[in-house]
Amino acid sequence: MKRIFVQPDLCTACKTCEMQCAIEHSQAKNIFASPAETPHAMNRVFVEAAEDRKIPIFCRHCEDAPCVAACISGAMFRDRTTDAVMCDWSRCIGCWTCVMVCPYGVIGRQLELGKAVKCDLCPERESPACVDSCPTKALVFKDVEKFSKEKRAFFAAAIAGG
Amino acid sequence: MRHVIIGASAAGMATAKAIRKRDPSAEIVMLSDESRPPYYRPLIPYLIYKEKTGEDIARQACLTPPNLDLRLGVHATKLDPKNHLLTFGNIDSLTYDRLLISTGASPVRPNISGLDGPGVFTLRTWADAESIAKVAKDAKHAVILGAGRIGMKSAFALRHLGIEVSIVELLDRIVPQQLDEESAVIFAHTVADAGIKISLGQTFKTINYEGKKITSVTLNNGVELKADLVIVGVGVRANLELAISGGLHTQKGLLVNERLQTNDAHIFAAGDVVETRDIISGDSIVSGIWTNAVEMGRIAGDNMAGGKSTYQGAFSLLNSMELGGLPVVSVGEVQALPGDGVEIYTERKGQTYRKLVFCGNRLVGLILVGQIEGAGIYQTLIREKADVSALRHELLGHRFHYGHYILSKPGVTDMYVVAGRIR
Amino acid sequence: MFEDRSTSPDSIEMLGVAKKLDVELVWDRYAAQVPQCGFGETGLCCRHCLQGPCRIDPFGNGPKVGVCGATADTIVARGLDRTIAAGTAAHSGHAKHLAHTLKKLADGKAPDYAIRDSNKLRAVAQRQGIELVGKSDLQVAGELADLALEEFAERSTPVEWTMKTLTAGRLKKFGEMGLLPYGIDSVISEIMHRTTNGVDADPVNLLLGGIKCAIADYDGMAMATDLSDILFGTPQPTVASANLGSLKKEAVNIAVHGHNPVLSDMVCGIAPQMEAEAKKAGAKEGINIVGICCTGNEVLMRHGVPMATSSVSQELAIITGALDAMVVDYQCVMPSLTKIAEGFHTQVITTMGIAKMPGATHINFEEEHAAEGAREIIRLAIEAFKKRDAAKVHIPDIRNTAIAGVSAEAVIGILSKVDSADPLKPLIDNIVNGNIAGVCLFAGCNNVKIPQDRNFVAMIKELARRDVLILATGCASGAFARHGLMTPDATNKYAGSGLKAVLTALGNAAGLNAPLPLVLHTGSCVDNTRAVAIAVAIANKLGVDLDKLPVVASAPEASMEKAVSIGTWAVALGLPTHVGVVPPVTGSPLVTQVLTQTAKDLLGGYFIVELDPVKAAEKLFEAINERRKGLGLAEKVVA
Repeated sequence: MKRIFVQPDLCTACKTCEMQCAIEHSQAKNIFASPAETPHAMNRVFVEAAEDRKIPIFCRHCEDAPCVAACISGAMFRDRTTDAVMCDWSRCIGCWTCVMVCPYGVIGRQLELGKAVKCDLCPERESPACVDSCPTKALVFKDVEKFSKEKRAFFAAAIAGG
Repeated sequence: MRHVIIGASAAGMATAKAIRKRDPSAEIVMLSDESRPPYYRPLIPYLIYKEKTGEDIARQACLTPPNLDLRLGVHATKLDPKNHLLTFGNIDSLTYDRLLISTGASPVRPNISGLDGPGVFTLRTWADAESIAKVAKDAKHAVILGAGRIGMKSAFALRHLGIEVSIVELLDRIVPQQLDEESAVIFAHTVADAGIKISLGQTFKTINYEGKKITSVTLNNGVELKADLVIVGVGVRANLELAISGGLHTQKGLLVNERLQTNDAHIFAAGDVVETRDIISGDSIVSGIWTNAVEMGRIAGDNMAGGKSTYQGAFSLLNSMELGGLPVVSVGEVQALPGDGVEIYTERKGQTYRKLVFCGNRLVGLILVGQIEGAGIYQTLIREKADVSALRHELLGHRFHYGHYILSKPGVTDMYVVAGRIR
Repeated sequence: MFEDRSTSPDSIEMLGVAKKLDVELVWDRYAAQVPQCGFGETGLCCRHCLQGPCRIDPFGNGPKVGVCGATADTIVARGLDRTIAAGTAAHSGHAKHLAHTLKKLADGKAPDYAIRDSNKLRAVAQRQGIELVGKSDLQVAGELADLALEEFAERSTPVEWTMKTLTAGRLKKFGEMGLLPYGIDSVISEIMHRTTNGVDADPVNLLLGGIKCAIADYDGMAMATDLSDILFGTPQPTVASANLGSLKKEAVNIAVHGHNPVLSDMVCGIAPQMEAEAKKAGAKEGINIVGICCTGNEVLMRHGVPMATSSVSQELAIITGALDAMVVDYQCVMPSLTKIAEGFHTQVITTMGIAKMPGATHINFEEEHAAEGAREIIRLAIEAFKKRDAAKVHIPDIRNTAIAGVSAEAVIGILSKVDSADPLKPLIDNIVNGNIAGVCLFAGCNNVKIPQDRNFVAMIKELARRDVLILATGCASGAFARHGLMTPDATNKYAGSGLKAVLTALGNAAGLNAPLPLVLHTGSCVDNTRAVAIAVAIANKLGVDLDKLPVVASAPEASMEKAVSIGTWAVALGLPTHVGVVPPVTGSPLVTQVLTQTAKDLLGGYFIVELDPVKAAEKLFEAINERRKGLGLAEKVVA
């Protein structure tokens, strides 16, 4: 299944990913109208700073997702087709137990609606909005095995090349 | 291989899911002593004021392990470990290869005059909630014993119906386990704004009736509160009867080893019935927390199906909730006092409050009120017993994020560069 | 605590107070901004037309050109040029204001001002080619003002202050390279034109255009220095004080902040007339004026007004709860001041039509009614004093002596006491014999990205012990003053033996009975041109051009566009120029190379970008030694 892989050494912290994520999860889906909407559109991916470094932080859609285990209302579930961990807003009661257990801190609170907000791997798109918009190609949407294989090949070439 | 699971709530379902993962074809029989289909217990307060229906709180198919032989309304009464035999109902019985006891806990019923009368409820099951809803329809005054989670949730639910609500709490603050003095003051305002009256340092002396109708409650300071509905929420006690009937070792709860096995190698236990270790203090605790139950179920189920997982222990406190629209996350040792290696950091700004409890170089307790984003990272640090000395400055700041955590791990830092820096 | 924010003890103390009050300061706002966008940091973002905004991927994976076809080199160069133009516009706006004031004075329209230094007026006028015979001061002033205002027009000859103050060598080189601006506003406008979509796309051509603009920046600044001296007096060494401890509990505290002495000097001049009013309001010690930033420098060196704080820590002055008014004109004034003032009684008063702030009280300052304007401002401050909340007053008990006002004339003055016939000789002799290895001019600002003053203090210690003579202007002098480095004491503590000997001799010659201070305070940012005047004098005496002198410059904590324009003309003048932050040019290796290497071949001066202050000092010292070698002098060796 596909996941978003982040190559942090290519991140310039331009935050286009954050912006496009919010736009994608808005009604109007464009930069001019979306920012003024209520409930306001929220980004589910984050670029933070620590020690002068730029650190993109994304939901990992964990195999053994703590948020799914902890959810007391059955709102957090794993989508059978995309394998994404999703939040069903019809069941979410805004207890924030998921926020309390997510080790990456990537679950947010939609305050106007009282619902947990998280990355859904953009189910209505071929590939997620953040990946498509990253200007330095720091984000990659790939099958896990494929990504690992490519990384191994790269490493092998580097070793062989000296 | 037949696995029998007693209990169809968080622990039982998590166990079944874990068994299924290892052994897709194993036979799993699940017994529930409730006649309602499996549901999310924490949602039952919503039934009181009809915000949610039974369908809304029932467990969805996609979150229920497949091929379960689920039997509702079945009460397991006797356990014969030597013969791998479980008796339920009057004469029915079942043999098992592996058994999981997740019989949960039941509300404590203190010895108070009038407590056993009609109109006095505990809130543990779907059925409880429906009974309360029925009486609440015509009730004008409700008095609740206990300002813990059950008491508070019930109170807010009843306020939705316009009922006058009073809460009577023995200790000196509301939600005494999850909140400390300062955060309790913040919530006292929220609670008062919702029209809920609180009496602290009090308990019930008598519950008074006129015939079969409740009329009032007398507190031990003599004050009499009008009541036509009483809810008691003063804690739960593990349901140990079945375990005891089988001669299993129990104390406050059912005793288990690291693999969540009882003293009988074929019998495992998970959830509110279990006595386990507090992951921070090492003390022996019975933990009534949904998240812990799921975690235990996962490990018990994995081991029942041949795995070798170990359970590290439970958080005695791991709670997230919203009262009156104000969220609070409480994790670990939040009531600790400074001294003896314990350092406490607090910061209050209006309705936002943070409390971090450090013991030596570890974070051991956390309260976040209002601004709860990123709570999970703090929780991870507590659970991992991480050395946070290098993170102290960031932890106390308002912008702590996963990046700080990951950079504190050696070998990871080189991945991150600064774009455009002249080196 | 707060080591990441400031190294200045008074700032640190006030940071603690601010934290308790939970006030958001510049450091908090910066923390909210990080991580900052890497496209901006590398200069690879272009917003010069509506087909953008365009980005070029510094890693080479994404787009390599903008929509119009502009490359990274073009985009970076265009961006840098606009920065230089902005800095030039600011400095020359200040100069223009002075020129207008002088003109109004000459025309009898601004009676509250006066010619305070008639000698300087005549010397400057003469130098600029104005006939003096038979003319009164006001007549000469009128002609000089006209000449100054003409600098800003479309002209057929290069700008006059440049032509009359630089070495022949520089003028020849600039002329050959086409770098002489013909008008200050002209070249600023030319930058805006050539950097918009579809005009100049040649990065080197753009950079040369930027250098030309930077020379116009120099021109305006030289003009400003001259006109300020004429109107307000040529500075002489003055003993004053620095740090927030200069605020007085029992006085009406007024901070003058911003740049132009047209305003601040008038406020200082009128204040003594209102002492009685202040005392009547309950201020036992009357009125206490303190300075912040460059205008603080102006009144520090002319009137001994203490320098309370500067640059990045300007907000802390309000946090003391003892500042009754902050009077500002333009540049470097944080708009956050009014928000912070909300929690206190402080009146933030804006005075210029082009520089207003929401939340401030605006009193339009007009030169024609300057004294009245100053009175109104001071009156507001006295009224505000009555509303002071004693409970909120916290003045750190930290004050350092600061000796200011070492203008070129003052230096020559002191040197003439050693050798009246040939005042430059003692200075040059000591450079030749190595007592003084060379000269370093510190300029620039604080930058929130660097703990306040950390780089300044680290570098001065490294350079002083290597016998480098230190000059400082602007907020660099603010930094040194805060740490007690503008004192004879600092000379005794940090100067190498050679430098100490020279400063001691000069101090004695000046009748101080103590060495000259470790830092020779040259003035405000426009007064960087005073340092150029000294360098030009030395160069002419030695018969070499500026790019041969062992003179270097450093802006170790630069933050403003003005710092970039100054740095650029310093390079053009032939000085190795250090910057302690990375300017947004690294997205173009070509531009980076031109600024740091090619410039050396073309102009003799070049940029040194080095974030580590100790390494920076070492590199500057290496540059000084390279120059010494070039002059046939023994290289300086330090243990």
